[in-house]
Amino acid sequence: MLRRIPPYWILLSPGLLILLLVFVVPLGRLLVLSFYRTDPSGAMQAAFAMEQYIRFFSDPFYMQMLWRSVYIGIIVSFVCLVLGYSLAYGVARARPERRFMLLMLIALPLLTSAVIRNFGWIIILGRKGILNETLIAIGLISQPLDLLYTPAGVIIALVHVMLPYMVLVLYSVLEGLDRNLESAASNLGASGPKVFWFVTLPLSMPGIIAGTLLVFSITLSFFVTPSLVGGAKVKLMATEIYNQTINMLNWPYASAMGVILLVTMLLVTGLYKRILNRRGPKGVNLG
Amino acid sequence: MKRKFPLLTAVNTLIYLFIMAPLLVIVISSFNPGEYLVFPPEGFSLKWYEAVLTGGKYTEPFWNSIKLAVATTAVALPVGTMAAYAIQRFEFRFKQALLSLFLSPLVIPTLLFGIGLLIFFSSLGVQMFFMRLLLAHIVLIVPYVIRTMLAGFSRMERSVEEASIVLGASPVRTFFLVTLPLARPSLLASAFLSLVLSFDELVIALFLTGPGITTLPMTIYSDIQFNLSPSLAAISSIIIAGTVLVGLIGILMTKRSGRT
Repeated sequence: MLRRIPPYWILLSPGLLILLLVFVVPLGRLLVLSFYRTDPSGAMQAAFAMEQYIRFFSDPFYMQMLWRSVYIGIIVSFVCLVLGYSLAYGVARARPERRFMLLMLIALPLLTSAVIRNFGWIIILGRKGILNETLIAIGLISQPLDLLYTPAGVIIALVHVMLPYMVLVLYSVLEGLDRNLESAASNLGASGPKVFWFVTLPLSMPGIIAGTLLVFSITLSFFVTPSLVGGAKVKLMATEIYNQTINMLNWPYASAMGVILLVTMLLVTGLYKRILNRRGPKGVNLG
Repeated sequence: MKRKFPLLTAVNTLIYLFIMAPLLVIVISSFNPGEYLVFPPEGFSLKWYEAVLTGGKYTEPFWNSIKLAVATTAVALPVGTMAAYAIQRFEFRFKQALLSLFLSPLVIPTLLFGIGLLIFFSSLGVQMFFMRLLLAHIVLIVPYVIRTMLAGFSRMERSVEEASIVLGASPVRTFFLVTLPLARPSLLASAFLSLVLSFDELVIALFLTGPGITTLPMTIYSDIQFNLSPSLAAISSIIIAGTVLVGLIGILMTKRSGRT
């Protein structure tokens, strides 16, 4: 009897079953719930209404929060790109026997949990933390900088969490790049910076696009860093969604905010791909 | 031709320092003998390690996290490997769509998944907190396993499997005696990835847990907010060391069995 069923269905079914039950159905419930009403007492009522969405988009407080989340996501992606490119370029140009060690140095922190890494940043960034003490000691500043519980601190800690993702994506592109093209350009008389700008950089565009998209998507809904390093002072979508779910128990509103965040993520990344596809060098395929 | 990049090297050294800084700061401040978390430490003492290792509030969450990571891996590894094998070796309709569906937990923010599951489990009245966490972790980990195994299966020579079939072994026998041993490096990589990711997971746990079960990342998370102490630095250092160790063992084993 078992023979009638194609073998691949037998192989796929346990995974599919878990995925449908524990992933697709709950997310569907979330979407449905985002259209529910919240009555004045705070209880939710089954309905198909835009109440939650209207509440969000008519309140400047929440609109600013959404904008702040997107804005921090863009800054983090850009800083990660600059730092990550420098690292990935260095690793790709290092002697082969050293590459592995350098990659480990970058990838091992990726394995350590973000909670613990943010804990380190809290020790470093505090008003009496090592960063402020050092800067005062060498005379760069006279007053301690406020970094903890500010957007700047959140950005620093987020860059640290996201950097390994960026490096790994960029490295895989830079490593496969045909070095002969660079040699050809410099043999034909192009200076070092020119070779980089006109040959290396355009050739690594797929990595740049993939890396920034990856970092932006993760950052936008990242919860741990805004919660620990930003605290209650830096209000971002991720922390507010958590607050609405766990403390306010306003699940319909939290669901609607989640849907808005997801749609924002898809819109921004879609727009970005579009612009780069139009302007980007020919032959670059986003895959 | 050998070119050097002195500026690049200098900049990159600073970036490596940036990467290592938070981890080093935690490890160094865990040796502080005093009651408060200060950096640089005012002395050297291992007493907080002793306090953490000989009992205290981190023991139970630690074992909860270990149990969760092992149980997740025990389910996610076979489930993911089976799915990856089906996708890699068979042709059928909607294959690409199915693959996207399987990988979608990597794209959908964990936060949304957390709320969705909380709503879902509450409406069903599911109160078994360990079970709730386990199911959520499996969904999160399976895509990683599938991705790693897909890469592994695609690098494998099919002719060896075909030879086994031609010589009379059944497909099932071939899978267990030929395919799986050949895929060992990817299996190991998947298992290590699964253990580490599941052990470290926080967001889902914050949403889904309930009275009676706390995972280690949750305890650390709440201590960072309300109770910064040297013993927190000590347990964090132990986790850092453990993760690096597990990561290195995983990489070395994967490399070695990849070569043979």
